[in-house]
Amino acid sequence: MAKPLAASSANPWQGLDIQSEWERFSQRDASSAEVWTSHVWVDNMHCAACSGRIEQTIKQQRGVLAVQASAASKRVRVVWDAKQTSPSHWFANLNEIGYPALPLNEYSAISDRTVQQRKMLWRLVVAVFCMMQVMMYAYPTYWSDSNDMAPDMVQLMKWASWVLTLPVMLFSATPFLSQAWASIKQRQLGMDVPVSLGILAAFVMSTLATFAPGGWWGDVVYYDSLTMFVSFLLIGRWLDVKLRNRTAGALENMMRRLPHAVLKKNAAGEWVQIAATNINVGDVLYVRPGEVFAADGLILGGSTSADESMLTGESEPVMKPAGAKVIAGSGNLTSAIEMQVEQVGEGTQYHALVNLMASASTEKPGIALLADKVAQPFLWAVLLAAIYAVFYWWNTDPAKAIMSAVAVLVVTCPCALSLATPAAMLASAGTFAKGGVLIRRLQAIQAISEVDTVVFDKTGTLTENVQQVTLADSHPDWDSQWLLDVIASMSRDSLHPVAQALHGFALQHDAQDQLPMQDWQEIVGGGMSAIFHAPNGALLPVKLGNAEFCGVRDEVEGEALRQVYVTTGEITLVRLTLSEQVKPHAKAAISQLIANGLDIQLLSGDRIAPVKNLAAQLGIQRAFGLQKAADKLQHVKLLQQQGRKVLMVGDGLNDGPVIAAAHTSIAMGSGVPLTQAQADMVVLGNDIGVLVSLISHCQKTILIVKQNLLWAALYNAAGVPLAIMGLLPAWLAGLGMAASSLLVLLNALRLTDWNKSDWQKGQA
Amino acid sequence: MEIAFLLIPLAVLLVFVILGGLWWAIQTGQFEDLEEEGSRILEQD
Amino acid sequence: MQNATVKAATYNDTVVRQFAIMAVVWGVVGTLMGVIIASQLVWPELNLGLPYTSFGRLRPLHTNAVIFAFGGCALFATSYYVVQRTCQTRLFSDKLASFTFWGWQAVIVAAAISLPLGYTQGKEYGELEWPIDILIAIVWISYAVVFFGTIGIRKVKHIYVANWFYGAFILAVALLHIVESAAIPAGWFKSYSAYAGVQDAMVQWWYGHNAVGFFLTAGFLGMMYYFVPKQAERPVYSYSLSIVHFWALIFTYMWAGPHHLHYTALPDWTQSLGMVLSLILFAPSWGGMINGIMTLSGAWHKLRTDPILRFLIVSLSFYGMSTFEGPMMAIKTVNALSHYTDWTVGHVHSGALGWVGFISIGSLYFLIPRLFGQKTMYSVKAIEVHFWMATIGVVLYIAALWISGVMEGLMWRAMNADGTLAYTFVESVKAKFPYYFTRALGGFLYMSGLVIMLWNTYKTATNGKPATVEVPAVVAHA
Repeated sequence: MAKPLAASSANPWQGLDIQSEWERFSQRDASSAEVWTSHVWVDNMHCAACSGRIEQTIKQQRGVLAVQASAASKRVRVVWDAKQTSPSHWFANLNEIGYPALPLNEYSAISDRTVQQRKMLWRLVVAVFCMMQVMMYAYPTYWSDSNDMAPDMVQLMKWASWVLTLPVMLFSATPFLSQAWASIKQRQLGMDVPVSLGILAAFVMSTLATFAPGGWWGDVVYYDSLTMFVSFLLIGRWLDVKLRNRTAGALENMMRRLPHAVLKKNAAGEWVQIAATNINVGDVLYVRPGEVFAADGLILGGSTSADESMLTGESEPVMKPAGAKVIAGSGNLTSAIEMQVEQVGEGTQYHALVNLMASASTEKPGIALLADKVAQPFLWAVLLAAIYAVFYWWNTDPAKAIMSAVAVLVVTCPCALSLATPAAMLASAGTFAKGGVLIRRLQAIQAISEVDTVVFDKTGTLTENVQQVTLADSHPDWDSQWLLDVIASMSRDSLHPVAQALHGFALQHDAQDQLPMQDWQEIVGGGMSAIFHAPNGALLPVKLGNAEFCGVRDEVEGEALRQVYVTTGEITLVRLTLSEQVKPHAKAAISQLIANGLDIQLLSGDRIAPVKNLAAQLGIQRAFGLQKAADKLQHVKLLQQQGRKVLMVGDGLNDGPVIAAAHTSIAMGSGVPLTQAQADMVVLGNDIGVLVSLISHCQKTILIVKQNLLWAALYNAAGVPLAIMGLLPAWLAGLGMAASSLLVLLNALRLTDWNKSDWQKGQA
Repeated sequence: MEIAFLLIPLAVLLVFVILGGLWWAIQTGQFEDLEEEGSRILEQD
Repeated sequence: MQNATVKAATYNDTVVRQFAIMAVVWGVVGTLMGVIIASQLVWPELNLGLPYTSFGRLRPLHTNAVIFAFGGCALFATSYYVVQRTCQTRLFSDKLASFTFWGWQAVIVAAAISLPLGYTQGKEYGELEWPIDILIAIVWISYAVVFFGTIGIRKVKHIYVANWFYGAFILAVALLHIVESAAIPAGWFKSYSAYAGVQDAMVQWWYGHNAVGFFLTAGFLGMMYYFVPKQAERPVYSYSLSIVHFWALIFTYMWAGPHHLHYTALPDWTQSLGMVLSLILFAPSWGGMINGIMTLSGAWHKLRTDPILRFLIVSLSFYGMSTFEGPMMAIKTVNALSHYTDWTVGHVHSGALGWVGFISIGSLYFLIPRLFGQKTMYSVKAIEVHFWMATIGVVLYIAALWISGVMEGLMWRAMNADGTLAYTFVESVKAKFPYYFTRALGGFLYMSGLVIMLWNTYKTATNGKPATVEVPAVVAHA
């Protein structure tokens, strides 16, 4: 349990007692100008009993009119009278009883969503309950023969059904009716127009049949079909909203990961609680185990391990000793530490991630745009078919004419068409996100499903950044441990990846890197030099670098690998080989991709020998080394011109032109700088195998979209003629439309079952 | 079956009363945070 | 540092105690009446030749005693207890609550006197004459005021699901009572129903089945949703399911009534409607049963050692059984066999003894010790014995009547090759003798179990003291 804030002489919340301050997290109450409703976030609320305690204590305070606490969301709502009390009083009170509070500024956004959802639920509830009752009243007329029910009884049932249909028409159906009206005013045929026309026509016919049964409109009522279609339409919309909210919810959960409040060291050296929005670069924060890091920073004191799976896709905890960097949004696992803030807010990887996820959901992929284009003429066709039905039947039976038109309007709900694609795309996008694959453009799903060639850009993508060092030769006359110390000391201060690898290697072999040396120099493209004291006391000039730099000849057999030499004068003291470690699953993944019919190529800026060697290792037929940016662009363009669809896989630093030339692109690797990512998709983590599962899931997504569209087309093609011919009773039309929408949605939901390791089980 | 003239309007009225009750329940958030409420009784008394 | 102005408020458990004790007392009385009339069916001499002790007059005394006296007091006791605890506040009005107790006992006593004297409106579960009906209405309105008033002054925002069930029960019964009892008085103890003929029959069974649905089901489901989790010390299996099935249940129950009138003068379409809705009713009912039983998920082992939990869970099994049997019997073709037979009586009693009886007994065993400042009843062994006696009693009872009912139904419709009836009515009556005996035996066992409960209650009460429980006041968080 957190200790409450250190006591100080003044009430630390006095700053909130100004109206302009409390307005940021409060609303004026409708009942009186002086009464306010404030929303605060509260710490230490673990259970329902806590919320009960809070409610009862704070309510006792003079001026507090009502208190509501929710342990699940850690929020408390306080209704208070500004004439009798002020925020600092009840904030202090909350703190006293062990529940320190912070103002909740996001209140309005959350409440909007709640209000929206409640209204949606209410509409659905009204429609479903009324539908149940109306169907009950309709049922007897279906089963009774003409003598069983007295005419006045039949009339009573119709009347009762009419009354119960009113709330459905006036309230539940209003989203469709008002949207249809809005689109007509804009002189466009919106998706809701046919359905609204159908509902209205059915209602008017039924009303006439109830109150004036003698006319041409007949005496049959359709309240049961009517309430049923509205209910099913609403269920479809509700499911759609739920699907969107699931993605938005995942997003919001991501956003909510960051804590609202953190402990910061103030000038006096005490830990004070501040709102996370007030963190500045340079602040020193205290982070306990189980909490989430609120900003990027450096560990000053203590050591711990962190869960960075959210950012890297790797679920293995990462050791974070003193001096290690931590990332905003990752979780502190083992111990409490002090950290210094280096990056906060928009500059963090975390925010880049969030923005990436948010942007994808607003875009429309090509296939959806296609569906939209088809929608307009389709809707016109539907209207025309309905009008045709009216003319066809008018002379025979006017009532049948109208109801056939209604059947046409209702059965051909384009919902299936416009739900088909977004539902599938969103389902896949959401499920990818959970598996550590972020989509920048929804279009990418379709593009990836179409590729026939995969070009891996740099060896850094297929191989680890860290090189593997092997000691090939060590001069027998010299102490090998001392030689390692030399290597360690020389490479200590260089930032070159090779030097870093050597340094790590030497330390692993118990070398110490603090040998006194003079005149340390680093020469670009060559190596390093320095002067040491040899064990026998002599001054030794040492060079560490490639063959050319050290003035030796490269061994022939080592052409494929990088050779590093340590020399003094003419003598070769040490020869080391550096080999590139291939990323996990790379070989298996590539074989699988080839087996799936894709052509794999490798383009690298590295020397030809290692590139060829890697290609041979991985089974890649076509590999090219010494590729500069222009060469890569040329290569890809050529492939595209040949009619191929190329997927570029690189480390995210691809320049624009190459990505533009390719059909689509993926950035992958744990070092991907998300803030600069330009590829269509970003795969977090190091596992090449994910690509296999990814590509096949994209193919599956498009397959399902096509299935949905095909179904929608066939269903409409069958439904419309049947409706025109009067063979489709209203209730069946409604049921058909609902079932069709539901089918499409459920088909799309199949896409949420994706595991990035699927390919290993031979399922990809 | 004239009694239906009493029972059916009564039922319709009842539906509206029930819908009113449901509206009140939704508006006052009775259907939110549900699982927490199931445990609340165990912590009392 | 806590505000010193907090009063130590207490729950009103006095009225709970009163109703709880009377529930046990009336349980014994009601089942005793049942044993008497069951015995009269076996040995008609027990009618004693007197009008006051004749089967026709004692039967409604039995039904009213078990449903309204026993069941009613159990519902009053538990609803007053549950609403206070879940709303964390004392009852809305002590005076009115006390009035409901004394008023209700007055109704019961009035019934006990008037029914043997032959004053009756002749309607099933609605026999009491009009002055008593008025008293019932006044008591019921007071009950509604106390219950809903308490909810209105609750300190907890959320209204626990049990209270929804109790609330629906109270409102529905008010509506049902008023409609059913509409009558034109013709003297102090005589009245004529406002409805006639088949219309009256429809109202009667609209009432009758809703009495089962709201009094005997919704009300006791409210009891179940509180006492099962409390005794099992686990939350309800799926709180969302409890809400969904509540609304489904109350919406569908209203129209199942016609299934009591299959093959009568009631129009065919009304009968069909009743049949279909009764079938639909199966789903929400089982939703409730599953919810209750699965609450024990992860704690099944408790059933081995806790007889109170056994009563509660077994009650749910009987509930499931009855709510499956009921829809089956509502199907016209099945009903053609079962109507007017003992199978109907068997079905009623599996629900009444198995579901209503057991859930009340279990809940009262939870409640009574706490009302007297004890942790458990005076004798837990006695609860065990009660459980086994009661269970065997129920099983004997319903098995006997299943056999008897199906047998007589088959005998009534059996025809000879030439189209004449194979059996006379008297022959079917004679054939039922052994089953009637078994039924009386089963009922006797059940009643004896309740006598043991009465003894156990008496010992618990005299060993303990009426406890006063404080409404949880504010405790400063250390």
